[in-house]
Amino acid sequence: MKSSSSSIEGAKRASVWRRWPLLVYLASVAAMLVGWHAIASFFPPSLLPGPLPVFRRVGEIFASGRFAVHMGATLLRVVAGFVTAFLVSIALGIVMGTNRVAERFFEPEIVVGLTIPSLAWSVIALMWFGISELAPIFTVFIILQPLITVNMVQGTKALDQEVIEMAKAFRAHRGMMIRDVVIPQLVPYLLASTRFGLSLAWKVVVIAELLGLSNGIGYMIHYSFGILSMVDVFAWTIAFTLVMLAIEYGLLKPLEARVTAWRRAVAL
Amino acid sequence: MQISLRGIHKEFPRQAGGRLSVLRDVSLTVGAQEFCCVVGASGCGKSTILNIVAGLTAPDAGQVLVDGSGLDSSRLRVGYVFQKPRLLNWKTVRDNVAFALRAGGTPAAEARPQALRYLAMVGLEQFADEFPLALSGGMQQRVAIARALAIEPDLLLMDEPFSHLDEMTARSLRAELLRIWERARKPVMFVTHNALEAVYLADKVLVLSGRPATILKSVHVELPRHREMEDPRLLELQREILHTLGITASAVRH
Repeated sequence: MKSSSSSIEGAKRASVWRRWPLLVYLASVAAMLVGWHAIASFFPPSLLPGPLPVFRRVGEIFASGRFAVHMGATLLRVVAGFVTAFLVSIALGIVMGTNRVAERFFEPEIVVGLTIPSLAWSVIALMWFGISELAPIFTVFIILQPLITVNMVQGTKALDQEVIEMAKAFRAHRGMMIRDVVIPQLVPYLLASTRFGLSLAWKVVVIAELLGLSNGIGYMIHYSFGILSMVDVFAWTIAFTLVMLAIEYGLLKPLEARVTAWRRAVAL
Repeated sequence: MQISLRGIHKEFPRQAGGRLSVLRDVSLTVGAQEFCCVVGASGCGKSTILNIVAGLTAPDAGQVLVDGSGLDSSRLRVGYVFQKPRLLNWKTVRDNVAFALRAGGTPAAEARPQALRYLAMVGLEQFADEFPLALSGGMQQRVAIARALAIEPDLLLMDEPFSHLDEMTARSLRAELLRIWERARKPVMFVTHNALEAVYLADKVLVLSGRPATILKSVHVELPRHREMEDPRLLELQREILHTLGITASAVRH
């Protein structure tokens, strides 16, 4: 009797975590903060500041108006580089995925592109374009394009040929074929590309900002390093991370839920 | 509209090199109001015949004639029902039917109400706003039939449409198909490996040989409609077809 009642309680306890997924996320964040706080207590703040002073500084940065300026500059570079890479990669990926000759022709470009480090491209771009917006945007584009293209080639090769044949039998013209048949099947690949594309873009853009620009999050991290303020290095990094989290949970997750609703249909 | 194939040959390249001859000198005619079944063993090239008629595959030799004249068959309005439903799972049931209508040139504003009418015809109007994955296999295949009928095709092509369904569902869909077809009276090419299904449905059954396929025999089914699957005259015709295919009566019973 006793053991069975305790196992029922155990099941109940487990189901609380199941039923409230938000609780799991909150517990995860709380664990990170507590761990950080505990480890930081062993070190001087100049080496590892704790979460309390860092978030106080994050609040000050948000309030000062400086954040909007630098954040705006960085986000513009990230988005401009990502969007151009995204559009070029969709077109190139579909062509490479459907045409063997095109695939062979562009394959070396992809391999070379995947190999060159972002630091090298940042330096090259700054020497080509000087201190201008073009340098970081180009760097983001050139780093992301081969990665997203590889992803889109995979997506194109995984297209359901039977459904495409169906659409041909019903005489769907090219526009309908792309909009109603091909793109919906590429959605998981487009979403994955957006996720890793945006997060990689920001890692790339801070390098360019650190090397040669006079604003942006990367510049501010470099500046904080210059005044030897570890709290500021942490605060600027976390402030930007919060924005990326807002994009993920406020934009990408809801979008994903909307465009993949058909998968959750329950069979009769 | 009458559809004829004249001397169709088709080969496919083999992965291992060389060529695989699939169709050899296939000639047939489907009359303007005829329900024609094509029976043959699995993999004998039955689907290839339908794809050639639909203009999805080009024959190596021979031609497709519409009302006796050569015509680019890729311009024929065909309602195609495949072995699997081949629905667009990301569109609702209604939008799946409307997709075929729009592909055929119907303006979007008319396509949606017309789609609903054809869904009602197969008894699915209350599922119009569901996604296909919420439906059973039999219901999905009914959506595919509604999609093929909705475009008011010149010709209905059906490629073993009931072979993936359980026999109960298949039987009710066969009866339903005949009920709808008797009103529309469009020419039908229905491919199957099930000889009994063929004689139950068809006015005319064409028996195909194994690869390379050629037509061995044409069997006319003179019985009036609303046939019974267990009708001894149908079973006799089934035996005749199976005999042509080289399957003996004793093998049929097991």
